[in-house]
Amino acid sequence: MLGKILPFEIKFLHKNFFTYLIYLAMMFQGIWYMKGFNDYYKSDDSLMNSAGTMYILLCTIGMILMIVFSIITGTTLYRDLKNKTDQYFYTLPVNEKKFFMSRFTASFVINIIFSLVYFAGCIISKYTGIAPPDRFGPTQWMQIIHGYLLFALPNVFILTTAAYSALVFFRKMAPSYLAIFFVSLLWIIMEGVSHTASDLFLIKIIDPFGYVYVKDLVDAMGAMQRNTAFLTIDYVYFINRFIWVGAGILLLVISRKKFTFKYFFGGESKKVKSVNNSDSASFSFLKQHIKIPEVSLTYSLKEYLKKAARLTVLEFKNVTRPVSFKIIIGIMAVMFILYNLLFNPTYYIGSALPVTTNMTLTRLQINFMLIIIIIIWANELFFKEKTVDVWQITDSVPLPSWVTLASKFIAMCGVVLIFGLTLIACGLFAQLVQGFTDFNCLLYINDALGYRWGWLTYVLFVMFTLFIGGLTGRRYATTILSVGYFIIMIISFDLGISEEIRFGFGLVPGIEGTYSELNGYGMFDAAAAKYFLMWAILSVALLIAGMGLWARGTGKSILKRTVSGIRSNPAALIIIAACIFGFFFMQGYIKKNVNENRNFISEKQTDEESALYEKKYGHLSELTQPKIRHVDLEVDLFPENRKYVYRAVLEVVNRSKEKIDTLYLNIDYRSKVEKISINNKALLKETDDDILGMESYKLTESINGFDKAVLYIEGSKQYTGFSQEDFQADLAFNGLFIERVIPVIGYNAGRELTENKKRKEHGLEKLKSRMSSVTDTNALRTSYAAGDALMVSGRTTVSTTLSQYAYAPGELVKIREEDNRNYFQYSVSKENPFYWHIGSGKFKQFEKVISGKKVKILYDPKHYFYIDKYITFVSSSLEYIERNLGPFPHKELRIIEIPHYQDEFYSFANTIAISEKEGWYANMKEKDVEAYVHFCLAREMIRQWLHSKAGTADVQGAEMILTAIPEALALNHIKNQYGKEQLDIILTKKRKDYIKGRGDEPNVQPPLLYADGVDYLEQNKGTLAVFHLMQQTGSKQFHKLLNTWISSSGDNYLVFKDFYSLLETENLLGTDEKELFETVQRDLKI
Amino acid sequence: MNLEIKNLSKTYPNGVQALKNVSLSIGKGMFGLLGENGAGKSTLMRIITTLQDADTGEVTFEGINAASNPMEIRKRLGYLPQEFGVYPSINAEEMLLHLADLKGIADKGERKEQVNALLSKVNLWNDRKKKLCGYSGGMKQRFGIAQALLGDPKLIIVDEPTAGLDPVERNRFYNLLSEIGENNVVILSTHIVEDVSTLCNNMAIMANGEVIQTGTPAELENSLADKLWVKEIQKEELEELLISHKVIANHFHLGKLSVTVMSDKEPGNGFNPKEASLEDVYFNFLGNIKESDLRN
Repeated sequence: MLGKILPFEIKFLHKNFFTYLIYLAMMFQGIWYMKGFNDYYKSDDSLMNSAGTMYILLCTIGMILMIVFSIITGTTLYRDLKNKTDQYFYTLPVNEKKFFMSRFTASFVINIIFSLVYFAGCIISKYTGIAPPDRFGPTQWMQIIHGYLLFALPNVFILTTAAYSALVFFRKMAPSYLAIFFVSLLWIIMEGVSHTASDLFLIKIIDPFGYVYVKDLVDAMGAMQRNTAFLTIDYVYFINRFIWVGAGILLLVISRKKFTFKYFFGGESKKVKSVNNSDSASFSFLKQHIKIPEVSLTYSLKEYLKKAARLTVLEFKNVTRPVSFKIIIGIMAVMFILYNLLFNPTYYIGSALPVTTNMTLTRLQINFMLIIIIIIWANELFFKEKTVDVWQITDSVPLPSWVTLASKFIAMCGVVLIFGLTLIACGLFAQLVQGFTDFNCLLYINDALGYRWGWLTYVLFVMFTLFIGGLTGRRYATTILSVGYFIIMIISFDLGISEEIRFGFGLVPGIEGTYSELNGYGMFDAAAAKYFLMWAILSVALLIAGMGLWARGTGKSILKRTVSGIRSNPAALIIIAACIFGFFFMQGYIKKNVNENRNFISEKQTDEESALYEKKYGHLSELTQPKIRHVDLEVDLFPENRKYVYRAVLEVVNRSKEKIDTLYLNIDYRSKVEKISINNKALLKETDDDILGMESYKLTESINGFDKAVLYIEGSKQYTGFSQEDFQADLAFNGLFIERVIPVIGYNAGRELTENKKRKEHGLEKLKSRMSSVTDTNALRTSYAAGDALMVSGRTTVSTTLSQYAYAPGELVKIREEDNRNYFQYSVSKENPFYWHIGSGKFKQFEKVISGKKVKILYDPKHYFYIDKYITFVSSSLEYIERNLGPFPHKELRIIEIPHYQDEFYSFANTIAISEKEGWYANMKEKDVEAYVHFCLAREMIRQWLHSKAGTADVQGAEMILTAIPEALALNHIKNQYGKEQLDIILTKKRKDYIKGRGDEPNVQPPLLYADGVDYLEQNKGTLAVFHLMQQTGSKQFHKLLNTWISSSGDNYLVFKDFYSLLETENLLGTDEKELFETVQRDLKI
Repeated sequence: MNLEIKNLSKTYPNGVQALKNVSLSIGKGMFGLLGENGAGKSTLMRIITTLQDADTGEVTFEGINAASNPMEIRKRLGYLPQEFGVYPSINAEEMLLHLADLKGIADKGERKEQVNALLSKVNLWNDRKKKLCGYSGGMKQRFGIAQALLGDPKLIIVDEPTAGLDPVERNRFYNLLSEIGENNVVILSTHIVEDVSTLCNNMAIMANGEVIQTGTPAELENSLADKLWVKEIQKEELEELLISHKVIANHFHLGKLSVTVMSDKEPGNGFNPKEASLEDVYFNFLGNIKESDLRN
């Protein structure tokens, strides 16, 4: 049987022109995905067609292919029902089970063929010029075959069985599409969840494609290994495949059992109740005595509007009444609830409280598939008459097309509103179940019903679909074009191929990861409104055009429909023209505000500018520039205008013997220097590089070698326009946090490109290390905190609006209210590293004196949950520091909540700023979560102690001092407080993060002794190593040695290698420890 | 009340010329449009019903141009397509009410009243609450005529209405059509000669996209008066007869082959005179066209 059916099906498939288009699309997808992977792995040793990349691509199959699967898989069987060939096919003298299995196998083989074309696209991509030839290596054929057999083939089988079994159970194609959608959706959700989940095991198992599993393994590989290695599978793979392939086999067996010709032809389980033919014996079909009553016909605009309203209700009911709709909503609701309960509220370790922000995030995971479903659904509704072949009747009624189309459009708006409301209901339910009642109703409405991937976005896509429907006049073409555009658009942005949101239909800034509990959507509110307005204007044009072009009847070309549309309704043409004008006007307006105001710079341009900065100003790194050693700063903050002005009196010193004639200042595009003088003598601006942000000033009087001077700068910064993705966090409306007010003096090495791949692309030399060597005498004399400052003391007066509280480094000296503004004066009397951060926000305050230290917590009033815990953590950490390290340096300590836009933690004089995502609403009922938050706070307090003791040199190992050592000490504290179990949880997480992070090392991983400031290294492996050392040495001796080392540094900056030498001198380093610090181990043995 | 069709031509993108300069004038009453499958009848129907555009020519009804003012035509139109579907999940009454609304019957009461009357008229009253997907072919066709009559149409077009109906249903259908044809323009498009001969007072025969003959059925029948001859023969004789005579039709009757030939004089040889039927006329025209095609 298979021998007869399979060749026929393949031949049949290739009779269709669309098959060849699909082949082209598959090829395109392969090439396109490979291009997307270009920047995925940062190392310049990573090849685009590495074995690891191919393994990942072999898992995912790709969204276009999934759509193709959903459309074609069931057709080998459903075709007979659709074309009514079942009536003779199902009477053939064949074994029906063999017939079923042969048709299934044919579908499976066809799907395999399509998948092979996709992978062929991936393989040939190296010949297509999508990247320089050296980005590709030899094709890893054996690994590709390995990956295909392990993942792609089983995944094709899983999808085929899902679609086929749904078709057999329901005898309709729609469930077949939905089965693939839901399997794909599960994958998308698992992929999304994997970014934040603390434990991936369950996620790897639930992921139907094994993608998370493969990705985790590939990410952990080094670049060279990733290029050629075979994937080593373990028990997790077998569990995953056992479950999913097993489910596929089970579905196939059940479907095979269920399928009989009689069942599939007539549907035994759900027989349509046939009606008697009503042929009465009296032969009375024509009842002469019945007169057809005359009626009055009304064709007024008012009646059309009333009719549209009536039809809307009818269409809405038609869509929502079927059981299938209720099933889909039910499945969605279960997914939302599970997602909200299990995955969304995840914290670094453990879970977070179910704040509304976390609840509404669910939509982002599901919306990709949901919008595809909405497009298909809308399309089905618009073409309903064509589908059931009643169009000849409905198209010949005396009703303008816009009445029926408008009613369908409004009905669809109602249908998609149900999706938004379901999200809200599920979020509220999940919160209530967890006993959380601080609902943020406005946020629910904003997210679920607004234009940030909510209801209004759905409405835009319904309008878009209507337009495509009007344009093509064909149901299938509309589905393919609308869904195709959507998928290509989303994946292009996802892969970084497109960056400009204004080119992505329906997209607005600030959809993902931008909401701050403190600052809301901030500046993105205004930006998103403008973008939405632009899309709404375009959509109105599309809607009207779609209605005008709608093909009524048959065989009417687009040209004829356009001409007739214009003739019949010139007013519509005027509106469309006005809307198109409005759309382009808004495009221009957005371009001006976003691009021309440099509120958005593409990644490519950013890299180019960084490279140019280094090329143009790199020589200045050798030039002597003054260093700040005392600051007297006044800053006026205007958060509502996103502006600050400042006046800074800086005591600077020339630390070399060479005189300084020119002062170089880094002034970014939005900042201005109004006045500048040295020793009261105004400076003359020599050059002004607006784009690269460098200004030079000629000194009227040179600063001679080792001389001091007073530098006065008066300036301001203000954002104008809006951005599409830059948070502009330093001037947020609430919770602003300025890392540095004063311009950086001299060459700013922090702007250099550090990834060798990018450096190579831009013609820069590869870096051997991202930081200066420990033998670089100049760097040894430079502070890691700021290259243009020494250890600094000073005063800051910061003013802000009346509703906000402002902070700066140092002890609070005075608060006053003047001219409807709050003024805060802070003083740093003992020199500290130049971390001169300033912020302001609407905070609630909590104050307590602990061991003579005034502890003040400034937090978002919504985040009152665990303030008492923070006080306990401060108290216990303080006790640890004072017992083991010495007196805590400050009498006053502020702990401040900041938006999540900036780094997670900042520690500067008397102040610890903690991101809103780092503990404020973590679920501290869980012990491991509490321990982790305590650990973070203890680390920051140890940093406070460290900063007061000495500065750190800007050389390799700086972060070992500022991160690894405080973390190791904090871990020791946690061990004492919570015991080994909680400690091990943190250690395990750090171990995993290190292994994952090193796989994405863009350059070369250095030994810890020469660690050069990369996230994954010092705070994971570094912490583990120092903690290990501490355990080996004994914590008491370690504390003592640490103190000894810091005390002996005198006025010099600390260098980690010196501490290491001290340990070596004390014979505390065994072979294992030396190997740990001096080499890059393959396996982390600790 | 007159439907004027002037010089209508239509060629499909695949090159098939569906209509070639078709002109007709159709007044009140039943008008039969007779033609083989593929003769162009459905294309003509769809152009009249505003569902399709002609390449050239025009259709006017009561002076209203169908191409430039389709909405006005639709206000007067009742259309039963050759093949049509139904919304499977709703019943006949709901569907008719919905269509009545679309046709412009704004008053809810009137809508209900007319739908009820039509349901009774087509004998679907008892099944009005049953889902349309369960209807038999005959019931669906009756539902089709009911919807075509909604809104008191003046121009009623029924395309192959009796296809698939059993003889009893067809008979009922004739009765209904003849009733509604009394005061309206009704075009009955069919390839079944009996439909036209039973119902229509005027007719046209179409072939290869052209109108090849118009007139009343009686006129057309008269055109063959005293020219038709019939004889029962053995099957083997047919081949010879086809060569020696102009055979219009042959069919089996009670197991014997009966042959009709056309001849101005009595052919002799056992042929008997035959009264011309519309079917004979139709077959004669088709035969002439095929002959002409063969000659060309």
